[in-house]
Amino acid sequence: MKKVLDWIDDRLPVISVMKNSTTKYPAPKNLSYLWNFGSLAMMALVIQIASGLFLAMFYKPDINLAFSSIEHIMRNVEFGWLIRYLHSVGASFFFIVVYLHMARGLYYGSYKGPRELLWIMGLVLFFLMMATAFLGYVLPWGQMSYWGAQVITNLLSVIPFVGDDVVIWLWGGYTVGDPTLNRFFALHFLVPFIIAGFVILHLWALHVAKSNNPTGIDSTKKEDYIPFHPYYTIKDLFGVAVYLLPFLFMVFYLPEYLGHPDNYVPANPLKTPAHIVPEWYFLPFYAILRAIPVKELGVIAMFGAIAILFILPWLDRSKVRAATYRPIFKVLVILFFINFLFLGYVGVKPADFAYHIGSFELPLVWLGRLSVLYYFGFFISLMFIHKIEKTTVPKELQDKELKNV
Amino acid sequence: MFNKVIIMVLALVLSFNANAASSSISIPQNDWTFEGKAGTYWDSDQLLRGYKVATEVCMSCHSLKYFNHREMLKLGFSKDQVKMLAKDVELDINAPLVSQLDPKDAKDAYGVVPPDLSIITKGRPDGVNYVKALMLGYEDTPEEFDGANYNKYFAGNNIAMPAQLEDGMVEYFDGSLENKEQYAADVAAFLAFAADPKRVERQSLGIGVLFFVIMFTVLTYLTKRQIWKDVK
Repeated sequence: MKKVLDWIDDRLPVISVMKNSTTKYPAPKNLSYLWNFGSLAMMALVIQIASGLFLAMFYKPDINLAFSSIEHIMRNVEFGWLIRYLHSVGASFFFIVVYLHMARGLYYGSYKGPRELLWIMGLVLFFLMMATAFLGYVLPWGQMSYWGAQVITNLLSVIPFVGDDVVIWLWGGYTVGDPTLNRFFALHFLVPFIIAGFVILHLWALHVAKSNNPTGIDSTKKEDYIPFHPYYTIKDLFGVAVYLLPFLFMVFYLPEYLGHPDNYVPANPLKTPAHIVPEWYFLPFYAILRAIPVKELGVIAMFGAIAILFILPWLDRSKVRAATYRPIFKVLVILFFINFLFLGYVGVKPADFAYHIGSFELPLVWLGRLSVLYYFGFFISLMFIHKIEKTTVPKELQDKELKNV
Repeated sequence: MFNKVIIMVLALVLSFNANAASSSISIPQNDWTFEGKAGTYWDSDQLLRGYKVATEVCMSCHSLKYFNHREMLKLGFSKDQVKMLAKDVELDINAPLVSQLDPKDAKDAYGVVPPDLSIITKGRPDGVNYVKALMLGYEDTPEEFDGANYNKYFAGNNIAMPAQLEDGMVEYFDGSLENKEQYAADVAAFLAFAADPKRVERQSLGIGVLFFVIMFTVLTYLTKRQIWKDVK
């Protein structure tokens, strides 16, 4: 047996690659449970691809059949309801996990050198994931599917000179229609495999740079590391179990909680829903889009909100990674998280929503604008705060990695 | 016991949701056997009555095209009984449930095609309570009102559908009251069943699944502790 394996490994080193990334891969021993979200995201991806494959066997990407084929899956396909709810609730949970994963990276400075490309690969994953989720939400061909597709694809019309043509090209017609649905299905099937490819790049970059840890200091001492297997395989498995509890609870007891009733109304191009709202995971970005009254600028701000994350490793000039030892950054980054949640709240409210305090009227959109300012202001501030920030890295940690602190 | 915990968490989350979604006029809440605090089963008597109202009244204009008579077997009826039921209201159990009224004629008469009812309770916020409220929400037309029919629960109040339910219009055989309120509750319950026929089966399967996952969580935690005990 050993001989056969060696023979294979000499020619195609799959076994040594596996070994290097599990039993031999050294991981910092002080990782907290916040480091579980990476492997959870991978599991969420596997659940989406597996459940999606079975859905694709029954789904029909045709504007006259799509809605009915979903009902067919829900009613007549054996356990079709389970597969579909795993897929729809799974998408939401995938986003929860990825947002937490990113928040952890932000808080502990995991985007800083030598992990810039690791961070960027992650952002590519995030972007592809948002695209996939958007495409997938169109497929049931309910009211929100149709009008969401209408609103989002129309955003591309702001591209100078060719915008309108690009939108028509994307639709495959003069409105969102059958060709659009067909190609969205094809792309929704394809992109997850591109995501899987980028996951490999993301892991590859991780295994070169190694995991960051709650101190933000890459120790040069061997005794600070333990092999990934069995320590982190079991820890990640425990994380999976904890993840499955709320996830399956939602699947079995509140499968529609995060959805919108309008998507159980078949798409009707002649009837606009009262409020067009995207899925919850897009709400903060939707709020940024709506906060700016000029459509072109709104679109730029929305895409800019994601784009700015790509240059974050170079915006942040501080040499200390973790917020733990950065008193000013710590306050700002926690405010950033709260601000992001608040943007989500602004996104879910109607555009003309206002608070009434006595006779005084406070439109929510103004608070939303302040929020957008903070969103971008936070990143800009990272270029300057290191000048006044007194970092508090303990002496014994500084000795572990002199070059970075 | 475990079941009760789930239902309690559920009730908590749902009440939070109901508050968040409150609109201008609040929809009266009801106790249903299949949702809320105690909701874990279908009341087959009620669904049978609702089936009668839906097929005798609603289906004069609305279709129920995704509903399959096969689902009735789940309520404890035999195949022959279901066949009898369907025959009673002149329906073919093998054909989709469409209305006798042609959609085109309906559009001519009312200005809109009456929506299909098979997933109506999922397609409206707080669907099952909404359907019941809507059936009873007709009021005398206010003087300044300019529209087809006035319904206090319908968005914008102007609804194309005239009031449908009248006391005594559907005959029941189980001694239940034959009045509007009873009809409205029964038909709402039936439409909730039609919209989500797997609901009860899903909820009972969920208990086993969650029990398994809890055991899995405990075991992986203990294994993790065992493996990590030497790491300082």
